[in-house]
Amino acid sequence: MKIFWSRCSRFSYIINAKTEDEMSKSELDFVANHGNECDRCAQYHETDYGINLLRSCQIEPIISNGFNDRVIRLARVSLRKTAFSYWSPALAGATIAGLAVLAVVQLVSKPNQLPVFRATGEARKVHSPMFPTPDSPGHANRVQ
Amino acid sequence: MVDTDIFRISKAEQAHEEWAWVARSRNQDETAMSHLVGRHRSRLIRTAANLLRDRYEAEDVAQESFLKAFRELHRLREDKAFSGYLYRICVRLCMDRLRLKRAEPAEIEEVQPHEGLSVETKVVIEKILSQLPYDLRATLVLREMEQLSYDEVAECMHVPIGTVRSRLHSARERFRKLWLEAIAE
Repeated sequence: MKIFWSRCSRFSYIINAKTEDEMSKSELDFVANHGNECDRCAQYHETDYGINLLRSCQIEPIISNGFNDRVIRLARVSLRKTAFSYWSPALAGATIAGLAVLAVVQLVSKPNQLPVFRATGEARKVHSPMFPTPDSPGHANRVQ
Repeated sequence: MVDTDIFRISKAEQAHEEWAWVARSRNQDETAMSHLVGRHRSRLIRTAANLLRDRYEAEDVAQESFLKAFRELHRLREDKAFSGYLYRICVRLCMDRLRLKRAEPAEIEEVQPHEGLSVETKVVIEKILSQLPYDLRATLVLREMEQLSYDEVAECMHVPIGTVRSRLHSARERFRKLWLEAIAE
């Protein structure tokens, strides 16, 4: 419940909070009676005229000729951008995953072609059947 | 009676037509989008013009509202609710612009004489509106000019209904004071 200090403050509260069609019968009576006995409030109530004029102060819209086309064109661009930004993380992820799979397949299918590290200057001992050396396997048998 | 029925049928048909357009717009059908723009543009531009008091900026806001609505159409659960959804976007964009503009000195646009309303009176009203804080002004405009209900204003402005009532009370109070001052001058 609202407590008012004076009849004027109640009057002010009612007319600011509600329009005439929103007021109850007792509020309408109070506003009419108090308006008759208090000049200051009656003058204040006359400002209703200004508020009512607001309804006639609507600005008539101006719609430019190509409004529809412009909106559709911009919507097309905007929707494409949105779709791209929506799918771009997935596309990036898929590309990275694809590259990784390709690299793994490459490594698994040709393991012998991996480059082998050899220290520079190290001699390699190769056993050749054409040119046997004393420590070649089977050399002793052949000499005998 | 018959006329009323015809009117109802055409209203229902229009609603069905709109739902179909919204459903097609979800699949980025440009013809459907164009129909929706054509149907709602006048109301949107008028509302934006009333809130911003600038008919040229209003067109920009309406355009931005359509773009945002189409871009975020997946968030709309029901096709039936498109009209309100679009209107809310427009009001919020206007509120954002008013919030940014509040520090700038208000400019009064060229005032057109209106039937039964003198240019002077209209200038006074424009001046008073420009002196109101943006949230009070928007509430007053939506309620008095756009004739929205308290619930609709609350939904558009994304505030509780009690806030709408108190803002409307303050807006009317300030408007009356400024009106009395303007008349006394």
